[in-house]
Amino acid sequence: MSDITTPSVLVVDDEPQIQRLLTITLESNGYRVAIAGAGQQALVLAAQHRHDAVVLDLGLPDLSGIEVLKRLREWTQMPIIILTVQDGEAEKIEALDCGADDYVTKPFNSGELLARLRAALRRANKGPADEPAFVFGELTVDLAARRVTRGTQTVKMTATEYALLRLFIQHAGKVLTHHQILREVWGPNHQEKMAYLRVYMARLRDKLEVDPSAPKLFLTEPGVGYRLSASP
Amino acid sequence: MPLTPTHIPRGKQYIFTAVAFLLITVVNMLIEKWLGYQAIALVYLLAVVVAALFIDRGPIIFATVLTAVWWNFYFAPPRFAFNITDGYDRMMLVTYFAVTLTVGHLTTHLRARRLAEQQREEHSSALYRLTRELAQAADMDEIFCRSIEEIRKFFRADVALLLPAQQPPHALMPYTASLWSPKEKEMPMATKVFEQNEPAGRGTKDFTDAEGLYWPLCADGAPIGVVALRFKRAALTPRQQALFEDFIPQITLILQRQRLREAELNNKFLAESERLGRTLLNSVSHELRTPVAAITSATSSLRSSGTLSTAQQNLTTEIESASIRLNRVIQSLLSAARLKSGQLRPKLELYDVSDLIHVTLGNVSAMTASHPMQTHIETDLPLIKADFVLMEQTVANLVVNAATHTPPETPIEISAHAANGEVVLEVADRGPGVPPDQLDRIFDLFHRAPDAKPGGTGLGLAIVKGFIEVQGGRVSAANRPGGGAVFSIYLPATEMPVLSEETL
Repeated sequence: MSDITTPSVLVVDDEPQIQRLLTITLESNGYRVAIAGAGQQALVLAAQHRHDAVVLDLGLPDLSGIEVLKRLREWTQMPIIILTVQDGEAEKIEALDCGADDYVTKPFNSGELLARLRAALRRANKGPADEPAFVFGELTVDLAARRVTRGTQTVKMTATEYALLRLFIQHAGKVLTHHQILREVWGPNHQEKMAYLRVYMARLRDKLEVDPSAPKLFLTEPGVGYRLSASP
Repeated sequence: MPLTPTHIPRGKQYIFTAVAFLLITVVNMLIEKWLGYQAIALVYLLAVVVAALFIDRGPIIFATVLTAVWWNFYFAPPRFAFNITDGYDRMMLVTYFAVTLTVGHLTTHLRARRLAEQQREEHSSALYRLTRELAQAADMDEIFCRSIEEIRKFFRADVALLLPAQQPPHALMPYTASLWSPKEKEMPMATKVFEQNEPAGRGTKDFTDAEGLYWPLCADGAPIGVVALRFKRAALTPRQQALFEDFIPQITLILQRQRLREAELNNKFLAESERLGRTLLNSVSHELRTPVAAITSATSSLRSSGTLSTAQQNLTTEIESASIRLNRVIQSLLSAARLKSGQLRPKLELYDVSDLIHVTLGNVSAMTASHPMQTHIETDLPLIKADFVLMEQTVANLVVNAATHTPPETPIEISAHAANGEVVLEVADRGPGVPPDQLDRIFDLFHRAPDAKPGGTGLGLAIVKGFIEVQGGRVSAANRPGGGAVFSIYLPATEMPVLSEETL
């Protein structure tokens, strides 16, 4: 399977075992795989051949994963998925703020990695979300008419709640860090207003989730931010 | 090197003047017949001017008056009478007074200045010597020893250095190199000097009759110790005291510099050992987790391939749950190591407790499937300031702990409410509870209940306690009325933001 239409993934990881594993997993799911064991090599490979996505481990022997990410983002917008260790929240946030599309925490479930990769590729092919409506189960958000309905009932929302909801819909399926959400909704001078964000997220869930105590729509990414689930 | 004595005492100067006058008068009487009485006046003038080089103004005036009167009475005609008839002689007498007084004044002035200069030079060379001596000292002890030695040399006194003891109540103790020990009854005074940063003892306005003079050593407002001097004879002269007052800041300056240097070295050492510890922990963590990551990923791939028989499917599930468990043990060990080495820096942010509980329950669902979960979360609960990752691990530990130690199908209740400015998060079960004598020790590292089932590392609850404490909270364990145990986490509540009401 190496025709031009199969998507190609560049895997950047220094552990041979993880390299082999990712190769098997990705190839058996219809991807072509290129392997780079170090940061410099990754930058060279990324520039030489066209790839559709990058799976990047943040712990590399030469350059830091963040450095590789920044240099890639200087010239390409292709999806980049980060592999990180548990309790690496600070580096997850840094990577997302530097332009990573998503992250998977080790030890990862291969199904989870494939799902994230597929979602990122889909978003990249579609370009910025500009569909007029977002539908999730009973919930419909008509972005053109600025109307939110659940079943047949219209949901009343405040301007801030709506701004928050629209931001999530524009980035459906993608993790948004606290930092990114605060900047987009409250502006650059409100970076410290974490309390606002918590309160508004609770309100959004109250109004839009079927069971606000077990959210299916607005998912918490522990210590990092939130994600709007792309599929019901 | 003692300081130069000021000069010959006043009383001796008068006696010296009188004796010199007698000698010169005898010589004058002998040479008068060759020189004439007017030249005698010049001899006296010469004598007074020379004397002025050595004596003070008072004795000079005394010498002037004495010689003038005697010259007038004995040498000037008419002899043996005080009246002078010759106008020239009168003129001579007036000029004599004018010249001697002027010369006397000038030389005294000059000498005073020379003396002051000499004293200043001695003062500064003493300070220079002290600074040089102290600057060569390599550590605190050497600074103390050299200070004691220099003070002893300059002030001819026995010197003691009183420093606060390392152990509470930090009583003042003489430093080992001290040359004397103040008596027990003077120690309260020394302590007062230390605390109030005011000198006291012999020669000061307080406790003048004390044996020692106690002077505080203080750097940046913080007391370091007390210098105690014991004199063989008199106390300090004003000049010595001025020098001593200059000595003290020099010593404290050097002490302060040494302290900074030692603190800096210490910090460097700490930073280095912390860096080493972190590197080691990180590489151990990497080595342990990578294989687990490979196992988890491979089994999940296998399972989702859809080509497995039921038995294979079940075996894969076993491998998967074993690797999840192994991963949690690794996580616990690394957390305990981080806590022990003090390398845990919580990243505190505001979080919603309800969100925290639901994320955690989702993460541990595989390990708690045999127990029904009940959550009771108070509405409008204040946010907590916490590290989400640590909190997640804490709550997960408590829930998994409850699931492990209670019979299947007994409920586990997770509740959160606000009380007394705190948010209380409780995990309660309906298991056998905790033996009352174990309640205090249950959060200790590696503590395991004597009749506990096999399994578990004894790390879980110790990590719970450690994680909550680094986030500024506390934990407690109790038995519930009606059976079972309840573990509570208390974290300070934060104020809720006031939101303006707007609508679409």
